[in-house]
Formats: sequence, C-alpha cells, structure tokens
Amino acid sequence: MTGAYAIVRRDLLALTNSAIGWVVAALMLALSAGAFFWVNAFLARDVASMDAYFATWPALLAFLIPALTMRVFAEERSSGMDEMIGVLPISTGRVVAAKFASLGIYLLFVMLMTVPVPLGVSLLGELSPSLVLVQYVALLLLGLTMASVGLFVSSLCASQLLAYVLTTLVLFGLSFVDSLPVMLGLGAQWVEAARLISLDARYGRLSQGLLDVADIVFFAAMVAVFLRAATHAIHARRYGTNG
Amino acid sequence: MDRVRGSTPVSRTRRVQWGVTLLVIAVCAVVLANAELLGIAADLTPEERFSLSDATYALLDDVDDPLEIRYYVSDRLRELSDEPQRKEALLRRYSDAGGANVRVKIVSAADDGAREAEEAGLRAEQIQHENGDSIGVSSVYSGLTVSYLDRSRMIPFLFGHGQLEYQLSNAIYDVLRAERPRVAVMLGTHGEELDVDYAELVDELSDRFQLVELSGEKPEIPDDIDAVLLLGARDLTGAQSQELRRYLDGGGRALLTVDGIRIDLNTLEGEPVENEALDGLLDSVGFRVEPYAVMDERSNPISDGTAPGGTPYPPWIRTDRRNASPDHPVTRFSAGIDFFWPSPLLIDDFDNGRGGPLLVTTPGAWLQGEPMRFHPDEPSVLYRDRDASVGSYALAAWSENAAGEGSRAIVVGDSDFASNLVFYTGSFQNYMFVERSILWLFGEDQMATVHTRRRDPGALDRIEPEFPRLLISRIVESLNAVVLPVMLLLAGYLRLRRRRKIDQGERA
Repeated sequence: MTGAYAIVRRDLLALTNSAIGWVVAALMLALSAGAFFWVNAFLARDVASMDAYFATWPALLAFLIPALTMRVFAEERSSGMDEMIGVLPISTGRVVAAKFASLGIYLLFVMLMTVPVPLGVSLLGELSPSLVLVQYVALLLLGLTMASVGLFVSSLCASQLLAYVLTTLVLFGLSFVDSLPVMLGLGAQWVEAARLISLDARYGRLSQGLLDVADIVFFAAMVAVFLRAATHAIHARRYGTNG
Repeated sequence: MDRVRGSTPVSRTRRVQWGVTLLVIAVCAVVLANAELLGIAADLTPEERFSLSDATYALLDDVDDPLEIRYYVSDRLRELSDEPQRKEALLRRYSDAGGANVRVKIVSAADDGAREAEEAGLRAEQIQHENGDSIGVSSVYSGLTVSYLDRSRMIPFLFGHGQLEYQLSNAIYDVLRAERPRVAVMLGTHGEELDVDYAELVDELSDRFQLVELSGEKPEIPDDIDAVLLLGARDLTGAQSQELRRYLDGGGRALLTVDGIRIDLNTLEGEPVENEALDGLLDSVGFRVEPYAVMDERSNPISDGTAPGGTPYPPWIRTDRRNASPDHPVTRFSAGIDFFWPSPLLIDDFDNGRGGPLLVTTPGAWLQGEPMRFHPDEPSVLYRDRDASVGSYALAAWSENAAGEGSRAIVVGDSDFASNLVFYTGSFQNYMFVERSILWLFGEDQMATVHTRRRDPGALDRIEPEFPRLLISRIVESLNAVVLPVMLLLAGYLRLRRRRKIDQGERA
C-alpha cells in the first residue's frame, strides 16, 4: 500500500510540477464558465439552471483529459521511469490503480474549483441543490471513465502525441457512438444498443437528475474494463507475459 | 517433479484474476441490462419529474378490470431520438404499479402496426431532423390508446415524454368513468362566440367532458351539471349573474374568467369594466376584480416583440411554479399560465368558507390605471404608475364554501387566457390549468395534482433591483471565467519558478 501511495503522491507532484497540470485545470475552468456565461448567454436567458453548464463538459473533457493521460505511461517509458517502477515490490494492477487515483484526485480538485459557479448562480436565482449534486456526480463519473480510457491508450503508446490523438478519438467515439448506426442506416435496434454504451447518452440521463443504478454501474464497469486492459498491457510489457 | 506448462502458481493466479475480472464485468452487464427494469433509481429533481404522481398510483389502484395501453411507435423515431425509450420506461412503471390488470403493449408502427394505428385514430406526424448537412423530414407515429371494458381513449401524438404522465393518467381517469362529466359553459362578453373565440378550448375539453352551452337572455343551469365555466364577464347580465349565484349558493362549482379592464385593440387604449352584476357575482364567492392592468416585466418571456428602449411588448405575463401556490391541488404541480392583459384580484377575509391566491405576480409587478394606454411607441407610459403601485398581485384565486355549503370557485383575472390567443403564443399550459381546475371543482383533488415531467427552472429573480443584480452577475461571470483560471495559472507559474530555483540550487 505504501508503494501505491508513493506513486499517487509522485504523480500528483508531477502534475503540479509541470505546466500542463495547471494549464489544463485553468482551461477547464475558463472554457466551461466562458461557454456557460457568454456563449450560452446565461444572464439573457434568465433561467436559474446549471444544465447548460454541465452540458459543455463532455466535449471539454474529451479534449483535455487526453492531455493529462497521454504522459502517464508514455512519458515514463521515454524517461526510463517505468523500469524503476518495474522493480518496486508492487503489483501492476496497483500501479495502474494508483495512477488512476492521482488523476481522480486531480479531477476532484478541478471540480472543487468550479463550485463558485453554482454558488454564484444561486445568489441570482433558486437552484436545486440535489440536482446540482447529481450533475456533479455525473461529471465525476464521466471524468473518471474518460481518465481510465486515457490510461489504457497511454499504456499502449510510446509517443505522447499519438496517445493524445488516439485518446481523443476514442473518447469522441465512445461519446457519440450512437450517431454511427443512424449515419449508416443500421436500424432502430442498433441505435438503441449503441445508446447503451454511449458516454454522452449516459451522462445526459444522469445529469437530468435521475440517479439511476444502471448508469452508475455502466460507468463503473467502463472504468473496471479499461483499467484492467491497461494493467494487462503494462504487465505484458513489464514481464513479457499476460497480466 | 515435472511441471505441466501453464499451470505454475503465477499463471494460476493470473487465470484466477482474469476469471474474477470477467465475472465482475458479467455481473455488471447483467445489472446494467436489468437495472432500469428493477427501477433502482433515485429521482432528485425538484419537480419529481421521473417519479409517478401519488394520484397516478391511486388511479391505478382503482383499475378493477383489464386495462390495456398500446403505444404505437415508428422505428424511424427510435433511430432519431431516445424519446420512445423514455416513454417505454415510464409505461413500464404504469404496468408495475397497476399489477395484473394493467397491460402495456409496445407496437411497432410499421406495415400492420401502422394500419392498426390508423384504425385506432392515431396519425403520423412529420418531424424535422438533421440529415447530414441538411434538414430532413420524417413521418412518424408516436401515439397511445387506452382501452378499458368497452371504452377507449387515444392520445394521437406524443411529442415529448414531458406530458406523458399527465395525458395518460387523465386518459385512464376518463376511461374508468362510465359517463363523461357535464360542464356548462356561459359566455359573458358581447360579440364573443364559443365556437369561434374559444374553439381551441372547446376542442380540448369536448373529448373529456360533455359541454353544454348556456345561452339566451335567461339561462338556466340544469341540475345534473357537474361544473360551470364562465368565459368572459365584461358584459355579464343581471340574469346570468343571478343564475350563477343561485347555482353557487346551492353548493355549485364554477370557474369564472373575468376582466377588470376592456382593451380596444385598434387604439390600444383601455377602460375599466363597470359591471355591477359581475361585482355581485364575485362578491358572493369572496373576490373583487380591480379596474387596472397588471404589468410584470420580470415575467414577460411570451412577448414576441419589444417596444423602443428594449421594453418587452405586449406587456403580457407568464406565471410558473414560482408564482403558484404550492398548497393547492390545481397549482401544486402546475406549469402556471400565460395571462394576456390581466387585472388584479382582491381576496376577501372570508367570514364564510376559505380561499386564497392560486397564481401571483412577482413582487416587481405594477398597475396601470386610467387613462390606460398600451401603445408600443410610448413605452414610458407603460411604466407611468410603477413607483406608486409596485408589488405582488393575485391573478387567479380559489374559494370554498364561500357562496353556499359545498360550493367551490376559481376566479382568473383575465378571460383571454382561455381564448384562441393561446394557440398563437403556444400557451397550451393554460388549457391544462382549465382541466385541473375542472377536476378540482368536481372534487377530484388528487387527480388535479397529476404532474408533468416538464423541466421548470425558475428565473434569476433573487435580487430584484436591476443594478445590484447586474453587478453581482458580472462579478460571478468574471470570477469564474477569468479570475479563478488566471489565479490558477499564476499559482502554477510561481510553483514552477520556485521548483526551477530549487533545481538550479541543487545543481549548483
């Protein structure tokens, strides 16, 4: 456990000791609030609702999370740090979980920094606290799922740029997978099946205020699958065997 | 000892790990596929949008014989939207709540299904959708039929799932009753005709109620009437007033739509309505309508134009959940109503019976008295009496036992709210208010509370004065979109600079 804690601490320090950690956090705050207040003309619409704010996050995360995850394994591979971690008395699964935890803590920190948005809006109009809470839960689940996807892609790539591009593509694919059967004219059953695995559709349902076990299980399952796959990929590289 | 390849303790552990992972994923997949059916969800919306109303549960408890709900939906609509899935999820809840007597059948409206839908009276509607770079049009079915014994009702087309519970529960309520309730309609303004000025309302109500128009100089309200609807009362005659009072004194129930002013739409000037017969009628149920026009800039999103200076025009008023009484069945889950040229109501202290407001303006509303002028080229006139009259005004109110024992009345200070104007502004929630009111008048208090799933957030109205409101909103915007991100960047820059210095020191 000490080893995992050391990795979490090291990764968080790496995020705060690099420009990218601060720039990504600042971009998340500025773009989400800017889109909400100015692009969506919050004041002119005169509606006490955070729906438009949370609606901007999926696209934002799909662009910005890959910038955080691209370096996680790819950078370690290029700097030789992965060999050092390889000799630590800690399982590959714990290494991956620790790296995921550090990303989760980072996302939580960014979300905490967004709390002044609903607080400010509630000065102007009546917000439903329970609804905003569910919207934050939905955002956290979406962020964690996207981080797990990014970790998996990073575990496969030696190049950070390649990891960024691939993760962005995969995240947009997973978000809008339900549009594909429509474009291909595959029929209603395929569209409905694709909606079941669409990040955007699940996030949209949750952020309406319905805390559904199906959606929570979906996000948890996605995280489990991608972290397991990342563990498998790292383990295979670490020991030359399947994890 | 020989070791068999692949069965070392390490590889066995790996296999166990993989097995556990696959098992977890399989369990997740099963739960994922069935969780919605199990209904494991918490509805945390303030309007309880995803929960069935208590009224719906009570209604389904009354179903003693098999009741069938058939939902006809086109595959094309399933491809374009997840609305059919949402409707099906809601229908499953009806089926679960209703037990064995409530059956839900989803019918694909293709070929035989489309024929069946047409035979049931449903119609295909054209919907617009994105089709690559262009806008495509598809003709789709999304309607419902409800059958019970030899009675049936249909909902020709459901545009969203927002209204589904309201429409379906009311349809079930209708089929459970052997006879349609009788509602008498009386007109009290010269020159208005039921089938012309209130055609949309008649169309809406006649599916559910037997409408009986009371006309002539001395109208008589039959004994078997369940409720009376008075549409407009600017020229209410003494005979009409007397008959309505007789009916109410005997424990009758009435929805009275009245006006305190009369607007000439050619000159856009107004004058007070002076009608003693109307005053006497309202007095008998505990109200008075004042001869003023009410204006409320903070509740005016329905006006389609602006007067010079950005003033919303016409000065109509939209009320919503925030303006509605949460304690009365009619407005507990009401979406409010749109008012066109309303007048304020004064409410009695009620020596007999009880009553209160149903819908009120915001505290920033004001009145305009004589001379009344509403021309868009003179926006300053609209605000003329503002400082002297700013406050909150009741626009609709209710009373019970005020006229006679058992009597119930709802008064709305604007007869246009139920007229065909509704059709032009899309204010269809006004008809819903009429339906809820009629149900409450019948004594069906719980049925009046069936809610819709419409998202109904309030306005940014916590701070009334314009300047502090604008100032705070600018501070909130700048803080979140500029100050906090810049502070983060600054913090990052300082940390990186410190780090670099430490590194340089270590190197030195």
